Amino acid sequence: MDELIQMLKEKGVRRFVHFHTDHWEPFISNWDNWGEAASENAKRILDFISETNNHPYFDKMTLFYNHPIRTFSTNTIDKKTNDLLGFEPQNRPFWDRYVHAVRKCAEESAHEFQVHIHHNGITKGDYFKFSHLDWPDDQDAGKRDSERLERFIKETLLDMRKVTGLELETWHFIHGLWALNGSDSRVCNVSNEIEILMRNGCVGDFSMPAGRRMVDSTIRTPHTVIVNNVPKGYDMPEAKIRLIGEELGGDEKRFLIWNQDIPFTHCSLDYLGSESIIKALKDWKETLMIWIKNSPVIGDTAFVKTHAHSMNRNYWSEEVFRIYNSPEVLNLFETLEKICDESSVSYEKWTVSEVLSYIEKIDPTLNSVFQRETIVERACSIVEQEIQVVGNKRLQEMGVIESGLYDYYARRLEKGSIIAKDDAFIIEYIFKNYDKESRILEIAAGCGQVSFALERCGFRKIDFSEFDRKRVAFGNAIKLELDSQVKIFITDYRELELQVYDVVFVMNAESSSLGVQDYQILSTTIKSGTDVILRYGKYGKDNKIFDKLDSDEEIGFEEIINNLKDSEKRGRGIIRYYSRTKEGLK
Amino acid sequence: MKSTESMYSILVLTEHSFFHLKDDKRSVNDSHTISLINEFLENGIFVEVEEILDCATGSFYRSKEEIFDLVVYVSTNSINEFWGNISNNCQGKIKQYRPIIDYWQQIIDVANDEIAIPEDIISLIGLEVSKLSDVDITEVYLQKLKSALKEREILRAEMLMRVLSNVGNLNVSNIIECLVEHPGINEILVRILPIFNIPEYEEIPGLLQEHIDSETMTILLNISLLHSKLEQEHFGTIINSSSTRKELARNLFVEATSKFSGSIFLNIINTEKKVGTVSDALLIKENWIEDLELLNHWTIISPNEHDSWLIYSRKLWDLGLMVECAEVATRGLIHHPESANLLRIKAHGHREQYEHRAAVEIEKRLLGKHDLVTLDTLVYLCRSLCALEDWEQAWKYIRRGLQIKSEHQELIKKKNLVLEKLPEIDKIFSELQISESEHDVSEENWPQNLLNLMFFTPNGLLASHEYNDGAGRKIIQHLLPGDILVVKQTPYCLELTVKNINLGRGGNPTIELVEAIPQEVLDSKRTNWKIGNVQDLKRYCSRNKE
Repeated sequence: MDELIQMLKEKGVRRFVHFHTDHWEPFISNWDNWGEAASENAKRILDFISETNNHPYFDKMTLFYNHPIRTFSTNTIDKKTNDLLGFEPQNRPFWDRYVHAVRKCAEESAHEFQVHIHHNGITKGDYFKFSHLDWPDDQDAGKRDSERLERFIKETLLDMRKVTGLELETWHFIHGLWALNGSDSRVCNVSNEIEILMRNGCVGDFSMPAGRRMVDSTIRTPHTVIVNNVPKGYDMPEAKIRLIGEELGGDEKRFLIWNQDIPFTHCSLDYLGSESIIKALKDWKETLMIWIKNSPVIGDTAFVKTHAHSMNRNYWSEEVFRIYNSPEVLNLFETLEKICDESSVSYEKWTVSEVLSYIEKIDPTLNSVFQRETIVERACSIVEQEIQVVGNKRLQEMGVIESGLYDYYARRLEKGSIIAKDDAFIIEYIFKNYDKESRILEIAAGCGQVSFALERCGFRKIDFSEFDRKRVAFGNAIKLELDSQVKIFITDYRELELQVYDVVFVMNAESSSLGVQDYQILSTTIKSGTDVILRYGKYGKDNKIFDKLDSDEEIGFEEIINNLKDSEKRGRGIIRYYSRTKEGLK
Repeated sequence: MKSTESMYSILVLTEHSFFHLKDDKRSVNDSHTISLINEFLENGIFVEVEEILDCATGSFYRSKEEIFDLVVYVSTNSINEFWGNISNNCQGKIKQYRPIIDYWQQIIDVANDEIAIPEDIISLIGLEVSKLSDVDITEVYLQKLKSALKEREILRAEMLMRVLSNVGNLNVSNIIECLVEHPGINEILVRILPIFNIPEYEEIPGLLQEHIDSETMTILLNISLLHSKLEQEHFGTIINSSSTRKELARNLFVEATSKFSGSIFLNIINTEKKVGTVSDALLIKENWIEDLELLNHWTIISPNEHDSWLIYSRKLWDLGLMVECAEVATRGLIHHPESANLLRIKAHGHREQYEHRAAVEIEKRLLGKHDLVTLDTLVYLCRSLCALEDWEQAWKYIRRGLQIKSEHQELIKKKNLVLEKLPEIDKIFSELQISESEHDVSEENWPQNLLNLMFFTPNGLLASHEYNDGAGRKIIQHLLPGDILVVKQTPYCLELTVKNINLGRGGNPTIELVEAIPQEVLDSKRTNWKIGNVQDLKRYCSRNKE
């Protein structure tokens, strides 16, 4: 022990940080119609929360969550995806039990959620499950791997956000069976995997040191790379590898790869794993010596990353210790804490996000290279792309009027930007301020670009109304292309039951039929608890409705956006009206 | 029976292990939950049990829409720390606001391991309760059980049976008697057998060695034997007197006292398929169609099964036992008063006995029914009317018949007979409009009698019954995607669009449909559907010829 204390003192750090990255795989398949497996599955997660809550060493783990998505196959190639495999959220009986437990863990525990994806069953390799399908002659099963993986990731993130209630704007990753970016062709042959991950918000990988040594980077310390689309491209000179703190030599987006010079066997806590792991856990002295000696140091802080599979069913049978309660594991951390105390080094438990914040603080140049496109940006970009395709086609085939584009969209199409700045503002505002289960109605929506983008951001209960039939036809064509579930009403919005919505918004409705005469219907809607968002100068031909609503004592209002261009501003920006007595912002 | 509104009711929230099939999953809470249920039941209080998790999610899979006077929580996990918001979720389940009672904190005397319901709760119960007797409480549970089974709420049904099993002086056989007609009961019985402590007949495992579904069958056979009040000794005698599996099934079937037990006994020979996947009608037709005693017993224990009457009466008809056949049909009509086939058989009986007036009354009722061939009905009408020498009426139906099939020999003969009796009649009638022209469709070359009797496969395809002379399949072969079929079975009338035709070499051809079939249809009303849009079908089937 003294030797270890001395060693830590000599390391010269102020802090020793342990962060645990759990390959958190809580989902049990084989559910029955009586809900027994569903309840047991949920109970196991609830027990995990309760057992780790207030745990001295494992109350703040980073759970790299493997969220279950259903894979289905079709007999013929799907025209839209050009694939025989499709992905969708689970639709099992009693699914709500599982969702309740996972959401509780995400919302109420101190654990952090990140992303763990096993794609080995759906992409080429030894574990591919669908080679028996009738793949077309010109297309072997693995040819579509990149595109398929990206669809799988998108569907996983979309549903994971819904289930956990987390934004996951940016996130970190652990690769199923460790084989990041095609580094082991038995498992993964997607050599542009890092590019796909980054495109979808991923900042870094925490798979290493891995169970298969061949996938480990030769750089045994945390470092960043740029995209290099070849198998195991992250470990090649073209990846422009830089250690934390090293000059980057460019502003290209970078991907963090966490590695540490500690053998896999000495950072795994899976005590039911291999003999070497068990031996390492029992030989606490040697393990702690390696941790203290080889743990990477960033700034004044040493880090040790551990991993385990704490939800593995073997740890949940009778008379077996959970990983976090195993005597060997507890002994290891109790001793480490004592050594830290004796060495006047602060022992701390961090999550992966905290580690990242620290790294960016130490090396601020990483802030910008770790930036990723936000969910709203990605949603707008996808919708923009699709509308441009549909819009151009219609314009060409049907002309400006019949296509439903009219001058407004035709001009925007020419500019190459269907989603206007104001559209982006309102999308961002709703995204940040309303629950994803909120019911939303957009009035005078045109072709529905804002509604479609909101749906892409994760909102599932979106309706829009538009009075012009040609515009609605344009909207329907986009809806089809986006495979959207947005409901479109061809009607005067005043005929709809507005009070069932959580928020009703209008961005542009300068029709002469609208105006202060709608005070009754709008004020009743607001007072029922539905937020109404109007853009000043864009509702009717004058602004009397704003004066009238402003003066109603039961209605509160706030200017939510007032940074529009002066020429468009007309005095005020976008205003949210809400009931002073009922709860707003759902 | 007392109304449920007036009785005192309690919802017990507990862990999932209480409902778990396996004993090794039991937790310490389960025995306490059972004791608590007993305590409440003994005090004449209605109790339901809900899984805490389903309260936390707000799903309430077991208690559904029921509202209670009180909610008691039985779990060693702290309510607020472990579950958080269940108190809020429970408020909708309580008639008037009262906090959830925590069993481990407020009820159980841990030191003495005794249930000690606190004074304030007792006084609450004492003041407001309308206590039920064992008989009343059993009736309340049975009513709720029947309703749950009817709605296919299997988790609720199972919970009610679990609670019911704690009621004193319970006659399990009587309960099963009340429930066996309901869909899904087999599934539930298999799960709850252990709690009912039903005696096991030791010979059964040996009898079912080769049965694919032997585990389920063992449980269901035990229940069926108990339900049919077959003593162990008598059962042994039946086994000894039966030389084959088929004979054993038959000998047990004629002892059965309900459709449920009869069906289970028949399934003794159904060794290669799971219980419930082959209809009783098919098993009987394939194995015992000559056995009149068995067929008769089938009508006694399964009077609501239309097939039992139809198959038995047809067999009697085939044997030339017309009068007996009509008697069976008459009994069957008590349970199926609108059955066209049974009415026809009854009419045959009348004709056999020269009761033509009664036969005419029935045939007139049948004239508009699509289940039967109109031409046949007209011929039967003509026969009876001629026998009654009602020439004018007879002439009317002869003309209609001949419009359908001008070369029909019997009608031509009858026409000549009438003309002989009343030479002027043709002239009289030629000036009259035939008002029932909607029936006068040309039906030659068109097997209208074969339009009916389609069924839905479990996965929602439409197929032809085997026993309609393959008529359904003749029609199916002519259909094309986009064709519309109107299929009817009271109270349903479904308009379905053909998506695809699977001709299935050598198998039963099926129709894939665009529309989803209602789940309740797939669950319990898959067979004996009639196609209603005859005119459209004629067009579909004749277009290839064109």
